[in-house]
Amino acid sequence: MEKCKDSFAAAVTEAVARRESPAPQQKEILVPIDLSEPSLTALRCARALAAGKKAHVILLNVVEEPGSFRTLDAVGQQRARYARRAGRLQELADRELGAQIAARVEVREGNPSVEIARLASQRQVDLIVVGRHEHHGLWHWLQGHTASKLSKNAPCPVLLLQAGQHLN
Amino acid sequence: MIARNEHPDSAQLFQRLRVGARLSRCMEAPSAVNAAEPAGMETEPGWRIRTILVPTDFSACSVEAVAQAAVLARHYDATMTILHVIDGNPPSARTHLGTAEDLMRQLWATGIAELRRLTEALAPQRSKTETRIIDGLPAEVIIENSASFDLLVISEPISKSAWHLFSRHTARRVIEGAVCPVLVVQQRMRRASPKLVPTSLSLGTLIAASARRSV
Repeated sequence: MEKCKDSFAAAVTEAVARRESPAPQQKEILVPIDLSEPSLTALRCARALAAGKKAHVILLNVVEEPGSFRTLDAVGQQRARYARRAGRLQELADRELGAQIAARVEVREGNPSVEIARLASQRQVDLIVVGRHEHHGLWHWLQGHTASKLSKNAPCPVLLLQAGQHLN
Repeated sequence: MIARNEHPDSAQLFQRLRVGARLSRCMEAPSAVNAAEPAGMETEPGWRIRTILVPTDFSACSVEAVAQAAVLARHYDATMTILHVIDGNPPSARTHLGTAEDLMRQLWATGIAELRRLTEALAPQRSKTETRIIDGLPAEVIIENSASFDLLVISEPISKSAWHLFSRHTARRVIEGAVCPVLVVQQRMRRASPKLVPTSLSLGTLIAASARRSV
């Protein structure tokens, strides 16, 4: 346990003052979406938070599986897959966020926790709202949660929610 | 089984601390706090944060979590509960000279004093603050307590060793096991000074080098 250089109370007071200093007006909330129930819960939570702060919401889908090599048009296939995913995200954004909240969709390929952290860093988002899945046993020990890994690597605060959970 | 007994000698002190926190709450002006609530939240009545739990071991790592919780508590007019768990198997036991009872009494006294100082320091923030001190296994106590809160705020230490591959941190266990939504706040990074790490490319020196890199 790393001890505070000064007293703990003084360090907290300083951190509170730092957090309350004028922040940029435009807030951005990143919501990774895999179209599962926990990720929809996260999107609904982000909607509530964005409505309060007049923030932008970025919906991100990370394509994990590699494209098939049994095609001559790998690039075209990948482009079509990106377009399909982006279409589904846009449809979801329209349905869940409506016209009141500004949203943009993003599709990337790679390791989900790495790509989410990378986009958060590039866009300098203020908060990541992510749904977490329940994994148990050996699979969990080997693989871990994407959400948990993300909370370790993310450059900003991460709000973790389970399916059906909500703030109160 | 989680031990939740308060130390008999510390009970009176702790009671005074709780009363002090309650008194400071009564002295606050609620209208001023309500004014800070964002208008947008009223449209989503199901998404209110009323109670926030923030566990702390008074380490540098938990500073940001407590600060974030205090800011959120004021913003949403929520009650922030600062939880300190007296570890039933404290790391200081290895170096402590004296009886186990002495050590536990010392840990209770330190915890109570730190919580009091923290409550006094946060009083000008006008956030509703409560304190709770329990002994037991930290991760289990925090997870059990999380059931009755709307939000848990925690920060995770930056691991410096390969040991975390085998033994997960308390923070990690809480993040994965908490019953309520969890807000993970990043520990503020300090600029790492360059370090010279000699290596002979043996496994031992490579592990040491990788630990240094993550500083």
